[in-house]
Amino acid sequence: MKIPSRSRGGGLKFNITPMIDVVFNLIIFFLVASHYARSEAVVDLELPKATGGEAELEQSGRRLTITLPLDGSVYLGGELSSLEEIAARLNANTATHGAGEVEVRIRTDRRVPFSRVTPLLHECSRLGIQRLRFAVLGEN
Amino acid sequence: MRIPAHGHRADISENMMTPMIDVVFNLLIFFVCASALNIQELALRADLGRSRSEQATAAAAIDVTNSLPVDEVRIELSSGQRGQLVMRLNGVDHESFPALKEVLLELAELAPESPVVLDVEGAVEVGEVLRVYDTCRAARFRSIQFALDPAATP
Repeated sequence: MKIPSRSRGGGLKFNITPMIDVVFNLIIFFLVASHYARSEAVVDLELPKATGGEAELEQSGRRLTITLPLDGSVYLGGELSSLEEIAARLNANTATHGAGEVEVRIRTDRRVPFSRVTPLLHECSRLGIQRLRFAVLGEN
Repeated sequence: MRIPAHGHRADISENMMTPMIDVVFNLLIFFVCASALNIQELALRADLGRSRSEQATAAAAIDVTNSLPVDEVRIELSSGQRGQLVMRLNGVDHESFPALKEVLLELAELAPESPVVLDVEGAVEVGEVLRVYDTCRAARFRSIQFALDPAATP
């Protein structure tokens, strides 16, 4: 009678450590890759610094985010746009939700001249939108 | 002859250490990457007031230090000939930002209800405008508004 050897009886041991290694490496890869992909889409932006910035805990669906990079372009919610399109969107949002509910968030490079922000302020003022926020970084 | 198991056990413990170190290093890299890439963006409140024809109400030049409190704090920001920032508070020029900040803090302590009007020339950088705006907020002025020229409406 053939006695089964001990080593064979133990079978293959499934080692999950390399799998964890690989999974972690993949997570890190996607984390880094998505960060660079996002920064390319939104263009290089050096936000102004301020001490009075507040963390925004609530995500309002009636918020319009307007980005003004240094190259002169305008983005509405991450998509290339124009002042006319933004004005039309502000009009539509105000008509739907009311001026008191609409929030405008301006993300602008700190080196952008103020004359590029003024038309947006004019439009908000004209429509009666009062909730205006500037995206900033903390001083520290 | 029976081979002592001492050396074999040492091998096992060495073999077990390597994957653990791998995992620990991976965790370390993950958290370093996650924390380094996540720079929190904050929101500076700049609620707008009701529009009015600001340009028509240019404040007269007042020596702020001699006539506190004032009815209106008007801060004019413009670009000088050499591209430097010119800061004028109620008609008085301030050479440096700390000097302007000091006067603003004094004013806010005496009359926080005085409305602040920021009259900014188009060429001034947004970063500078928000720095002054932020200082006014930090000084606890109750009302800070941007002056807009109705003639410049797009």
